[in-house]
Amino acid sequence: MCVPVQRRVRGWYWIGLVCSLYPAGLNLEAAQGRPVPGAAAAAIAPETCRRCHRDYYQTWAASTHARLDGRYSESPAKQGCEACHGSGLDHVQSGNRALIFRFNGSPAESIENACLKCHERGNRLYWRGSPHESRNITCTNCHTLHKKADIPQPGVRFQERPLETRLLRKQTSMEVCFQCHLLQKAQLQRSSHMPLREGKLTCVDCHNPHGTATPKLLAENSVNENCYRCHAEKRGPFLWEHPPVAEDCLNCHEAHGSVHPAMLKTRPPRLCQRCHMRAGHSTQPQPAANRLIYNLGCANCHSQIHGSNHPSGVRLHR
Amino acid sequence: MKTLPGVAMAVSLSSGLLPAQSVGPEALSLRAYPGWTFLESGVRRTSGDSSVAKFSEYRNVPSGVFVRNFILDSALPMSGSYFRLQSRENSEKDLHALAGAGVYGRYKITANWNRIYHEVVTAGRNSYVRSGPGQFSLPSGFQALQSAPRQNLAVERNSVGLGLTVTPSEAWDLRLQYSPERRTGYRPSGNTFGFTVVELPEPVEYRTRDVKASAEVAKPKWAVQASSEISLFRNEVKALEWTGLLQPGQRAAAGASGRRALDPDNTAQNLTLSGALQLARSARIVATVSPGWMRQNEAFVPFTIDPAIQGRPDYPALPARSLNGSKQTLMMNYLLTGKAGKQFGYNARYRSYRLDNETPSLRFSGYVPYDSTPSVFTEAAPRSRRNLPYAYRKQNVNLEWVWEPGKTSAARWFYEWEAWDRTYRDVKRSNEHTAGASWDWMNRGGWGLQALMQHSRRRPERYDPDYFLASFPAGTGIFALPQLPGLRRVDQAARTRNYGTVSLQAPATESISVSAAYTVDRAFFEESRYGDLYDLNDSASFDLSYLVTPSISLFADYTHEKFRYALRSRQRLDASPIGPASDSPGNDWESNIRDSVHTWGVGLNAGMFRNRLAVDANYGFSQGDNVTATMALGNPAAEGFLATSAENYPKLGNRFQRLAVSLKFALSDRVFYRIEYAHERYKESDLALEQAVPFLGLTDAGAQRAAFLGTVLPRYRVHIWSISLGYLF
Repeated sequence: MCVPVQRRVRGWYWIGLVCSLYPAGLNLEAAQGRPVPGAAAAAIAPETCRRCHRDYYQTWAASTHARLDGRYSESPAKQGCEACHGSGLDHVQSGNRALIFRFNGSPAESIENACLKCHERGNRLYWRGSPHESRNITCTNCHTLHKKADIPQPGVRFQERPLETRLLRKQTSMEVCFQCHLLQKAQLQRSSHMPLREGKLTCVDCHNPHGTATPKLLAENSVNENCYRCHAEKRGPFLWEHPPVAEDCLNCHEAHGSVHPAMLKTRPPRLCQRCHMRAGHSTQPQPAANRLIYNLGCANCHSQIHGSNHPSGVRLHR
Repeated sequence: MKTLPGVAMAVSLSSGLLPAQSVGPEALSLRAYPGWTFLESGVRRTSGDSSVAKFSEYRNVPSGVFVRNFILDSALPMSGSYFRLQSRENSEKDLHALAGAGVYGRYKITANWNRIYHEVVTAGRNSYVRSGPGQFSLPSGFQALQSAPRQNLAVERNSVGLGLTVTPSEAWDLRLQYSPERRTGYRPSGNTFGFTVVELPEPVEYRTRDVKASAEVAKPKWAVQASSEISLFRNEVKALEWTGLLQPGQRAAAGASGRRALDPDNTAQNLTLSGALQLARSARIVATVSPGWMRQNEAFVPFTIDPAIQGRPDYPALPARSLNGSKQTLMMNYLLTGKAGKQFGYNARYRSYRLDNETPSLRFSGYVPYDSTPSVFTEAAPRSRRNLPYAYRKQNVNLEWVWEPGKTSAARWFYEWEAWDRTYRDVKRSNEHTAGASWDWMNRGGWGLQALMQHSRRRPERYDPDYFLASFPAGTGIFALPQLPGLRRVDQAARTRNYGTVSLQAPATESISVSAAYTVDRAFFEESRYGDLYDLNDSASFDLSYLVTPSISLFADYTHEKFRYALRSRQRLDASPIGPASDSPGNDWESNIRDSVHTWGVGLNAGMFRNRLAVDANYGFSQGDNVTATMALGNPAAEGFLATSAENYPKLGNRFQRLAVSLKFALSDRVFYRIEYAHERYKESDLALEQAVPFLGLTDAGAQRAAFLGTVLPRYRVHIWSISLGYLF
């Protein structure tokens, strides 16, 4: 059966959005009596905290958070140290460490609640329920609150182009990802690779680590739409299309790097022969000394492999 | 500009120059600090094979003066306004700059400029002379190819991004982005006169303009986002045309000219509407609906460039002036996530991505297969063809149950259903069911363990390999043989897949930390008698860091990846005037492909003489090998045996090594100089290039009529020396 062409959008598609107009909620942590950042507005000035926490104050004072302090929100609960650490009144009066919210050693959920109070918007909309969140990764695994605006050092094995400051734990955003994604780090050092080690791309150009509506935390709606951001010429629609190409670039290409040219999964002609075995030259094993092996392989002739708009280009060769 | 010592200290600390205890009390007034400027610049010498395209694949490292780092960061604390300009590793063809200005919490203007140099061919030879945009001719005959001057082909990408973000209130965000991009240069591409191949530099003259506007309102319990994006792509060169004799003796008129349509202009548009709602009991719903449109209506080029063929009475008429191609996409995602008690959580997600292809299916009553072919395939042949508007829908349902027994661990069980519905493909509908579990644990001491395993089964409801017959409205003509029975294309075949990964982080001592990971991925295509039979991947990674002293650290890492595929096929022949069709199991053949990749690195970071001297040394190595072994499964002595070309290919491989040493001397709190040396080596053995001399007839007697650019193997050895001075103003 063919997929029917759906020309109208059904009403129930919008139910989830309409529902979002009805606010409700319950703060479980407040009910459990634990210190909750931002729960009270005691407004202890940061300079008060500085008396005992000079180092922390200093790093905070040089950070974007300090520059933004008091300008983003008029709510006292979103200003100064208490914006993240919660009400400090009891802690200041008693000196008891248990009476202030501390990030070190706190459960992942408490940490993310502290951050999402201001940041649950933009590209963090899908954080809750995302693969990282589900696997106990929290904000402080990648970010640090107390970071100065510093000079980025030349990358050792991976360069990175200038990015807006994100208070990352590591020098570059890629190093943050490589803490866990060791395999991707190695794949990017293969002979044919995405230009991450040269600093032309970073992980966040294709992925949104905070969660997306798409699998693999892709920034766009599909794999192909992700690739079209830089390769708009492959978008089509073409007169003669190559169905696996139109469906998923990863049918033929490795996303991060490959030992084969053009980041292919394997070399032509074997790559093409995985599917093309009706008759003729595509079914021949092909000897090594052959023009179907040399240079671009099958693409020596079928150069419009991503789609052709030539009226005679049915074989994707014109 | 006034510079406070505290900032200098902050900068120096990050550079590993000065100990933390030297920070003075002045640093405490940083909140009122107006800004700082930093510049690191110097001279660089690049020697060796730096002109090899592989070295300049994504970068440009010329000798001469360079700017490594420039940062201008200024702020007016009272007004909350700021300006920041960053630029890094710049050269004439390789440039990255980012500027931002605004008022904190109110608005922000950003601008970035990226110039990326991408060299793709080393020392290609091309006898064709450019006579216009996308037009090449061969004025001096084919023999000149052997002595044609060598040239590298490169594409340069220039992109600019302009953005405006306005925050009228705490709840609102408005964003506008405009990103024009220009790509210029040449890349190699194959062109065919039939089975005659000529490789030419394909002109790249692309313009892309993207505009995106978005608005967001976010309240503590709910948020709504809306965005609209439009992307316009324009190719300045519509077709690649070439004229001239390829070799002595080839037909001078029709066979000497050719035309290939290049990628057409297109537009894409997307609307995205997302909303989130916090429900009772920590539940949250997030929904996204995103319709999109892709359109293309470039005028068709004629069937052939050859006027002799165009003048024939049986020359077919085009069914339309242009395609009027249109695809509509619709992505929907609904997520319900929440907590069930203190220790349990759940996620339920439905996702659908639908591509409806509204492109007209045009019937071409005939066409001209090659510009060199005097014949025209017409309805009578029969060779009429119809383009097929492929479409698909992919649906996913995910259910996850999370158990967090303590502060440090989380267990997760999940189930996923994935369904594909396709138009004009072998499999109209397939279902894949996946079940799995993961365990993640990390304690305060830095110990961590992550494990995940999952099992998937994909089954097509029905397999119809002859779907493509719909493209032959008047029959298949010489395509007498049906598709090979038993073929299951890899992206649609029935598949059982087992995937598992485990990783461990272990701070063995206070100064040593170790992490290791192992991943296994096994996919078997049980119902495939032909096509991919299996796809097996394994990888192991190891990472070690050792803090020898507080100022000296060592690191080492290693990854090994192994890939194994098996492919089975059958050599078949259609019936032709010279013989009958051949479709015998005795002509089956099988290919086993092995890839192996080793990647490792070692390094040292050290601060000496009270951290006045910083040493950074590292060595990285990556080695990839490929073996393709092919054997005929039938008896070579049997009558009608065809698969005589089943043979093993020579082993392929590539090696990349990089050694880099950096010494940074701090002259004062504000000034340092850096001496760097890097040595890079790349070596490749690749039969695809080793014998691809410009005139292929020299090595492949069966390919007398093939001419390539003669790309040489990308091997290089490069030394890069540099000395730079960094100054904090």
